[in-house]
Amino acid sequence: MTDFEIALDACLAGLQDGALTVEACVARYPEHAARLGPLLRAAEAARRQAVDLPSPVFKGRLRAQLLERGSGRAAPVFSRRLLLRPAAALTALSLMLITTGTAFAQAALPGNVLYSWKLASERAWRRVAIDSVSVDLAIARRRADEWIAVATDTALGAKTFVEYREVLERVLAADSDENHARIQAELEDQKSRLAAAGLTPPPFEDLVPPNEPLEPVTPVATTYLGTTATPNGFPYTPAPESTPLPAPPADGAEPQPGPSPAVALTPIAPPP
Amino acid sequence: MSAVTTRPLEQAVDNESSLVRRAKAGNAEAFAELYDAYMERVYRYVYYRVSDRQTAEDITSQVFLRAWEHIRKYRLDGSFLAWLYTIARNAVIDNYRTRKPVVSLDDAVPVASKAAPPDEVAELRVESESVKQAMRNLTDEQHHVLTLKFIGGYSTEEIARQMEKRPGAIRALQMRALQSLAKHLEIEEE
Repeated sequence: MTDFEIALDACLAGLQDGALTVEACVARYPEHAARLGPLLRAAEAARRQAVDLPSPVFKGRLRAQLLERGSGRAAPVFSRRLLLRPAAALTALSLMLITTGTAFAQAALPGNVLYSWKLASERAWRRVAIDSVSVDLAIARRRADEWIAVATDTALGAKTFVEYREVLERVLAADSDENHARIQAELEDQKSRLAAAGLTPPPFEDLVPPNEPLEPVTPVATTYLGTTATPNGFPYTPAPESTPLPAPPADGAEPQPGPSPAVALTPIAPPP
Repeated sequence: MSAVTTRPLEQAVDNESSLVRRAKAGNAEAFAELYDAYMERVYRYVYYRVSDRQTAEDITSQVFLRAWEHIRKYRLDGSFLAWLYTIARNAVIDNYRTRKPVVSLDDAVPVASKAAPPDEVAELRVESESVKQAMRNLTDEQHHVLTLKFIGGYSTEEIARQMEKRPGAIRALQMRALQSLAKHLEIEEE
C-alpha cells in the first residue's frame, strides 16, 4: 500500500464524516496535492449523486408480499426436515440391509452365518402367508435340498434332518382332502430327489402331527435289527423290516409298547 | 429524492440477532421487522448502482424475496445488512447480464440543489448525468466499493471484511475507481 492510497483513504473518511473539505485534504497532503485533488473532486461528485428514496407505496407493497409469502411457510419445517432427513436415510438404509441380507440369507446352508436369518425369514413368511401349506411345502423342499447339500457333514446332516422332519410334521398335520394331492405330489418329489442323492427321508406316514405327543425315541441302532446307514452315514430304518424296541422302563414300570411295526421312527443320532 | 447520508454499520437494529433467529425459524413477522429496518438502505444501494427507480424497485424486491427464501442459509456470525448488500450486489450483476442498459431519465438531482436557481439545477442535472455515465465505466468491484463507502457509510476495514479482502486491496480499488471517475468526468490534475 502506498502513502498516496493511505492519504486518499484518510481524506475520503474525512469527507464522509464532514470533518474535511477537498481543499483541506489537499492542503494536508501537499506532496500528493496534484493527484489527490482530482480524485477527491471525483469522489465528491460521486457522493453528491442523488439517491432516490423508496416510495411508501412500493415499500408497503413489498412488505405485504413478503408477509404473504411467509404465511404459507410453516415454521417448524426447517427443524423437522433436519430431523427427518437422517431418519429417512437410516430407515432406507435399514430396509436395504434387511432386504439384501434376507435375499442373501435365502441361499444360506446349515452352518452358515446367515442360516438363522433364513429360518427367521421363513417364520415371518409363514406368519403372513395366507396358504401356510404351500409355504410349509416350499420350506420342506428347502430343507430337503439343504440336507442333500450338507449330507457329507454328519453333524450338519443330522441337524438338517431334524429340521426337515419338523417341517414334514407340520405339512402332514395339515393333510386333508383338500390338500392331500398336492402334499403327496410334493413329498413324493422330495423323496425321489433325496433318493437320487442317496438319502432316505423319514417315512412320511409315520410322522406324527406336532399336536400329538411323539412316541418315545427308540434306543440306538446297535440293538436294533434292520438298522442300516445311508451313504453319508446317517442312520435310518427301512420301515417294513424294523422292529423298534420298547422304550426303557422308567422307575421300574412296565415297558411301554413301541410303535406299530409300520411306524418306525428313526433314532436321530449322528454316527460316531 | 435525498442527498447521500451515510449510516454506519453500527446502526443495525438492536435485536437483530433475535429477529434473524426467529426469521430463520420461519417467522414472517420477524423478517418483516428486518425488512422495515434495512429496506431503505438496500434500496439506496441498488438505486446508486442502477440509477433508475423502476429497476431499483425491481431489484430491491428480488433482494428481499431472495433473502426470505434463503434466510435459512444465513449464518449468524455476520452482519445481516452486509448479507443483504451481497445479495443486492449479485442481483445488480444479474440485472446487467439479463437486461439492456437502462439510461435513466429520472430527474435525479441532489437535494442540496432543490432551493437552487433553475440554472444551477440544470447544471447539477447535467453533472448528475455525467457522473452516472462515468460510474457506468467502473467495474462491479469498484462500483460496489464506492457504493458501500458513500451510500452504506462503511469504513475501508468494514468493506474489506465484507468483501473478504485486505484493507489495502480495498484502498487500491477505491483509488482506481476514483481515477476512472476523474478521467471520465475530465477532472484534470492541478
